[in-house]
Amino acid sequence: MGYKRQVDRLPIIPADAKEFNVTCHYCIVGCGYKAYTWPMNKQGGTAPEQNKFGVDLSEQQYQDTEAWYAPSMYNIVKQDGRDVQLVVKPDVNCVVNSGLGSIRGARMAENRPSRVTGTQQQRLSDPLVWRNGVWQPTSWDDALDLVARVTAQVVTEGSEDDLVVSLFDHGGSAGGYENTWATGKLYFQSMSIRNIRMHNRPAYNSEVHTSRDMGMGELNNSYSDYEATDTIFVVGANSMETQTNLFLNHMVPGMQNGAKFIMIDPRRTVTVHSAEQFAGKENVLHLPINEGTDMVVLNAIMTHIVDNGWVDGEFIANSTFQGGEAVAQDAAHPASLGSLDHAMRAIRTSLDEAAETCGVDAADIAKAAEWIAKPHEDGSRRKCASAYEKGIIWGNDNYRTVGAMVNIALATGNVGREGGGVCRLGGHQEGYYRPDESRCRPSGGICRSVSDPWPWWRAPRLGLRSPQDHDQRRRVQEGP
Amino acid sequence: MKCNRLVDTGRRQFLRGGVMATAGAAATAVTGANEAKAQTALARVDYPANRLANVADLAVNEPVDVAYPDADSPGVLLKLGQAVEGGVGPDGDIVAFSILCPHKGWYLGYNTEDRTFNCPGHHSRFDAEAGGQQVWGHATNNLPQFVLRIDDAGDIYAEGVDELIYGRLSNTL
Repeated sequence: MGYKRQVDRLPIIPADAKEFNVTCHYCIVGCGYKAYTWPMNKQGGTAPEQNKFGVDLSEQQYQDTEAWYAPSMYNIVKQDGRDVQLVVKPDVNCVVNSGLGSIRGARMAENRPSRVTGTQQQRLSDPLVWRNGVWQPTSWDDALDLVARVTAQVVTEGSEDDLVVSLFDHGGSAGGYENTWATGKLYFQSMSIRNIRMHNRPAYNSEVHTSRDMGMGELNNSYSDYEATDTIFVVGANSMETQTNLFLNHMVPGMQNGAKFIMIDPRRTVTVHSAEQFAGKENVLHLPINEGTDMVVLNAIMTHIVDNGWVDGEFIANSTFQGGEAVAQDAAHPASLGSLDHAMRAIRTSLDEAAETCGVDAADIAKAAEWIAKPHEDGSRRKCASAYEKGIIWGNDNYRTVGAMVNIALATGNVGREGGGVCRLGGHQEGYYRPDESRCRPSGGICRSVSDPWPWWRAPRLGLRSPQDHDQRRRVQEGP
Repeated sequence: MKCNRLVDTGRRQFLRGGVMATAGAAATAVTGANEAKAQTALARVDYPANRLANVADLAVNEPVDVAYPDADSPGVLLKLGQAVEGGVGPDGDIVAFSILCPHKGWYLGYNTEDRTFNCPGHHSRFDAEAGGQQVWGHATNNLPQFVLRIDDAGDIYAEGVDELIYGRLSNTL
């Protein structure tokens, strides 16, 4: 039997409730929400002048209405030391989600810590220190003093290089700037420590540093590019579930505008099924490759595009590296970087080879290449927006596989142009802002930090000379 | 993309008025101490008991359009053919649900093959045999189910709802 909340009504947001803009802190899509707070002893009414929406709430509100919120969007939280009522609901005027809420963002209110309603009581509000065999609550002064003393002892009794810092990087829920800036200020500027890593990464670098080595940050288009493209090409991501409103509010309109949809993923995910529902099966191509064979199928697609002359010659001539090898393969570069010709000598893969390795039909690989790059009948170039995520990022061949993806976008001129882009689909609202750390990292040799995302001085395999940042997603967070 | 059926649903309000719980309405009576005294309000919505159909009207796996607690809240009455939790009637298999998707209020369609309610807008799905539990989707609550009672004549009455119905901040308006 399904769990039921047994909620039969909710307090109405009064017309004079405080209103805040919120960027959802869960996934990277960055949907806009509105937060409203008001005192416990007040409530709005059904008359238009009595509620925030200015509508008659004694009437049924219809599909996609702004004037409704689910029980998950209500809570009682502390604001300025007082209990207040809180509603966090999707913002119908935000271009990112246009009022759509995902199962993550639509629960932001009930996922706030509340001593009144008992939600999220496992979240720490005060430091705990392990003393005498138990975690003991303590003051911030005491906890920070302890950290300072231990840090000083490591440095004075050992050396600065004995200090190894592992720090978080994700500033969702309004924590980004304050936390990342403070740790960067301390460890990069004041202490200049040598050994540091963050979050899930062995080195202090981007998860997809190939893209940056090749000249472009990993977020290089606008969501609207998915609406204005001929083909949406996704590898190793399940966007309907994990970037829900990017899929529903941008990729789906793209399909409804006539875009074809390609998915490379061993799994037939709900994204594939949903795309078929929206676009029609004839406009969706799913390549269920064997696990771990992404690079091979991507290189075969690339080879087929190049051999058929479906490349964007002008773009390649004007915007990518010319003249052989630019950066040799070494410990920090699992693949060398250079010109298109240089790349093709290493990556050339036939359709049949890929079909054998990847376990999919050669004809389907060729079809993917056609949908990505074959010019329209009038000779005009095809636009393709490419996207990828954990399926290829969190593998042991991250560097070369992401590079294979970016290769296709560069060869077809789908960077910095309408309907193009080759982007990550994952991550969080990082709210990242740190002082620069630009000394070489021993662990990876990646010599620029993530706060300097355009290392175009590094010669790429097929790199842009002047990449442009089209990341229009970041909204200023003004949450409660 | 608005649903055309909204027009058909209409705005008949014959059920309104008599069933409204007083939610925080302040009384104006003045006490001897010259203080406003709050009116006693009910903590829960007071649901009407509305006849939806007779058992004899139902065929297995053929949903019947109903509305509850009023004409603006569309739902379906459904005989599943096998007993389910929350089911009523001689076979314990009669259930009723709101058919407004609790995600964005789109009209759900019923899939007779796997007995789920499906949203055409964003593909959320709800299990008719498991109390409207979301099988997959974007809603943050399961599908509101109508509490049913059957009298000796086989008439089926709805008498309550177990989740907030989409589009209203009080299940009774």
